[in-house]
Amino acid sequence: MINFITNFGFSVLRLSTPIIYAALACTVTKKAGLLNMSVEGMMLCAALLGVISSALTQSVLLGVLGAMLAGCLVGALISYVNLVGKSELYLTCIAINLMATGGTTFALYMITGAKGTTFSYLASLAVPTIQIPIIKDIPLLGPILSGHSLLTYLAFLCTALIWWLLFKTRLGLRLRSVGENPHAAESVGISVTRIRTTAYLIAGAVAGLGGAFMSMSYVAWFSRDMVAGRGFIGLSANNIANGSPVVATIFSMLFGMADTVANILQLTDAGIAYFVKMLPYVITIVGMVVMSVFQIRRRKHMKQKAVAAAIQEAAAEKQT
Amino acid sequence: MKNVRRVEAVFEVLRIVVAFLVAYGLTLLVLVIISEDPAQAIYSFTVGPFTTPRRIGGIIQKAVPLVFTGLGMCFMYSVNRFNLSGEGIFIMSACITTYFALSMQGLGLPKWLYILVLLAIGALVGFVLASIPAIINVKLGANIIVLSIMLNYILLYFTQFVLTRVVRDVGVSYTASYEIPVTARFGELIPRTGIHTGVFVALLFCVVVTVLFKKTSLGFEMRTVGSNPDFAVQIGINAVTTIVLAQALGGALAGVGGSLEQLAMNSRFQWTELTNHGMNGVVVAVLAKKRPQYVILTALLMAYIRQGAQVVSSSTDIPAEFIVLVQGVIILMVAAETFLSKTRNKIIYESALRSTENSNAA
Repeated sequence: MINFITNFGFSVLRLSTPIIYAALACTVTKKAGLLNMSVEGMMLCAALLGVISSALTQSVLLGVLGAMLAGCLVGALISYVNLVGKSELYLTCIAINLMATGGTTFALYMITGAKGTTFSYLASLAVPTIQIPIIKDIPLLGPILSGHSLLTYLAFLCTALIWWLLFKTRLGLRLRSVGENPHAAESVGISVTRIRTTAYLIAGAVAGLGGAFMSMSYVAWFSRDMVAGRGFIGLSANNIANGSPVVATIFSMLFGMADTVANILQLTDAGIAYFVKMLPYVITIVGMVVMSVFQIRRRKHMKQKAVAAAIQEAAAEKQT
Repeated sequence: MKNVRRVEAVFEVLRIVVAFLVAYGLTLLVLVIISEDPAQAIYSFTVGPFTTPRRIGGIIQKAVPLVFTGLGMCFMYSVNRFNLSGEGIFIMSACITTYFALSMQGLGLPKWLYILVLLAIGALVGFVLASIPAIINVKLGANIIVLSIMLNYILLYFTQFVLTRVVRDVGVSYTASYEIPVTARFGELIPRTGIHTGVFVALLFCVVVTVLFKKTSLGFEMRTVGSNPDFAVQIGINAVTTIVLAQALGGALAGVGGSLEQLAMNSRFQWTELTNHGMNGVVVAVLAKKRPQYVILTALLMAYIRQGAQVVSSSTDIPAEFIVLVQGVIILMVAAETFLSKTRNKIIYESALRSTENSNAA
């Protein structure tokens, strides 16, 4: 039983990692006022480039940096087409996702000669796992928290970093002001294009780490479509969190847990497992509905208050 | 003013044509670079799709589902709502169609009625499912793109549940449903081409949707709501109903497409991933300038490119996936407003200058 609990906890952290990265990548652009539908494509490109660059250079660090660079490049392409070319963002993202799915498969086939994975074709490396000295000896918690890939710990560090970036730095303030009201930001001399491009580059780098986790930690090779919708799960986590990196991470872990449960059920009862896999999406839709209802209520309440105040003021004026 | 409008209309078409040519040229260039026998690769890609009857049939086959999802997206675009649920509806209606095709086996229905009922079920599935995100969006203002993408994944996993638990044929080694009876399936129209009788259904829907857009009051209402919702409300159109109805109809089209694809192309339901038909429908609709009368052309165009890619991959060692380059580049260029806009503005400016000179001279 204890074994089961520790294995379960360990899996939750492991499966949450890519979702956390995806959610954080969405959070950064969302704060800048942009819906990032292309995290999926970013992660896929990054996963492939991580494998290629680590195989070529035989360096884990360069592999991960290569993955981040791939994410940034995708981000740069999106922001160029969207901001300079003035295209509709969602259409751009769909195009990028289609290109990423097909493009990575194409590259994979060219490298391996029509095989589904780079396993045994590219000598790519894996990111090392880390045993945390004191924590690993704590019963129950130790085996859950210790022994993860470096990228898993980095994901939580990233949550803090993104929070700090968004709420404690000048760039973060500008980014949020652009997201709240681009025209107002423009009028006080903030370049909306530059801020949004920066947001997309940061999102690309973060999504790149997620891609690197998929192909250099989760498994140590690239296979076609390996991100398998995790980018969209991240998008939903971010959507419920409404732009807060910490809440986004919490929801990512919740969705990671659903993923773990589904994986376990897959072995015993495949039918139910599919319903568990639906959970993140169902939760997101319900969450969006609830949030919208609250927002509408609040707006109505504010309006009533404003009207009441105006009537009072008018009455007061009449008396004098 | 008339002049300006004409220049703009011509330019819209020109932009798409140029974008297509650039993308096509780029693809040829890539083929030349990566192929060991460039001449053969280019020949396979450009002329290859027309070399045998079966390959020509393949173009038609591939165009049929794109016609349905493309028409469906035209509805979404008409009311300016980017409802992407066509993707999930396509696989869902194929799955539900399979279920009903199997469970109605014993009824002994005549072929035409059997198929008609199944297509109607597909349409109903699409109608209901597409209206879910539409209603949430229009009533509560939640983001329709996110809602519909979430719905797509929910539908995908639901179909997988049905596939593994309800309709799965344990007698075959791979994951697939039982075989759909031949009486429920579309037959081959022209022998040895693979062209099936479902083509007529696709053509019929092209005509019906075009007429609906152009000649009916619903079409007018949809366009008005899409282009100017406030004005639409002022002249007494029920905007909420129109917006939801248009999207539900769009979903119904994707649903018919999924049913028809299942009954015409596959004897068993065996999709385990989203099929991208819905997303390609977006491409088709955008290329058709969101007008249903052009959808058949753009669907055939996309199908031709895909068939070309398939010929290339079967006759050389180049994987067919290079084709996404064409698609991606086309959408990016067509979507970018600034692409060719300078030239357009220059021409408009000059024509305006000329007309003022003319009127001054007169």
